[in-house]
Amino acid sequence: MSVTLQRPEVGMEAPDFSLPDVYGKRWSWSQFRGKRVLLYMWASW
Amino acid sequence: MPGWQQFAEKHAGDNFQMLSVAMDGGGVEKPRAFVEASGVTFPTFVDASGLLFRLYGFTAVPNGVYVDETGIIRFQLFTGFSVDREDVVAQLETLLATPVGDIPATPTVAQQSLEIEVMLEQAAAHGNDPHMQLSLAESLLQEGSSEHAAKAFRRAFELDCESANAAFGLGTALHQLGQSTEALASWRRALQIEPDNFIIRKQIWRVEYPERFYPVIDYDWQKVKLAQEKAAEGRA
Repeated sequence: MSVTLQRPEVGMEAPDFSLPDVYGKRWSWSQFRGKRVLLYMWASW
Repeated sequence: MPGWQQFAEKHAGDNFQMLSVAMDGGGVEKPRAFVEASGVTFPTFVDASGLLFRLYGFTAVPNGVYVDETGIIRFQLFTGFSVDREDVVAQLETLLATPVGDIPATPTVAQQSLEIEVMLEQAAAHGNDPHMQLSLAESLLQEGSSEHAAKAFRRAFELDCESANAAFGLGTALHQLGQSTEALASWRRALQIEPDNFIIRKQIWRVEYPERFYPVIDYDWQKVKLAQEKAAEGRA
């Protein structure tokens, strides 16, 4: 169920996360603190 | 992707980092091939478990989120995010040209209504896709567009009458529109589909027994009430 969705809004802090890249190297969101970041989410399917 | 590579190169001197995330449940091979074929040099993460779907509360792509150097979200667009959209690129370039202290704290009304317009276009284009309808309905509800949200939830439920999410969302949108009787009926349909979903059950109680939720939430009453309803449902 996704009825309790709490979507981050403009003006709020972006949520932290950690994910591997396409080569398996792990990154975390906090590594980019201090930069202006554009996060583009897409899918190959 | 090549378009975003150009964008990243253009703004390389603006303390700017482009990142991409492939929302691919099937592993890294397909996105890696895609990345290598497109020649992008910025990192591409693979989100196989849908972590960002849950964190950001969206269910479809492509999406874009722009975050300033202090970690605050300044722009986000769920579905319809494309480098080919001049209005999107213009907004991003304005943000990149603006010192962080000068950015208004809240989105402009124009930006919000633009998002709703895009969502309505998407809803019309995917009129027979229950997942798309549901996802757009949830977004519309969050944007405060209860009437459009109710329409999209209703369509999602017509397309998939086993979707508790669609029935629950329809109830929530109707409740916001002041149609409490219809809202309760829709929540009850959702509860019939998912009798163990405590969120739905509690939402019904919240409307029917407001005195049990304000000024204090009466958890003991909830336990008794749940046992009573479960017993009654077991007999039915």
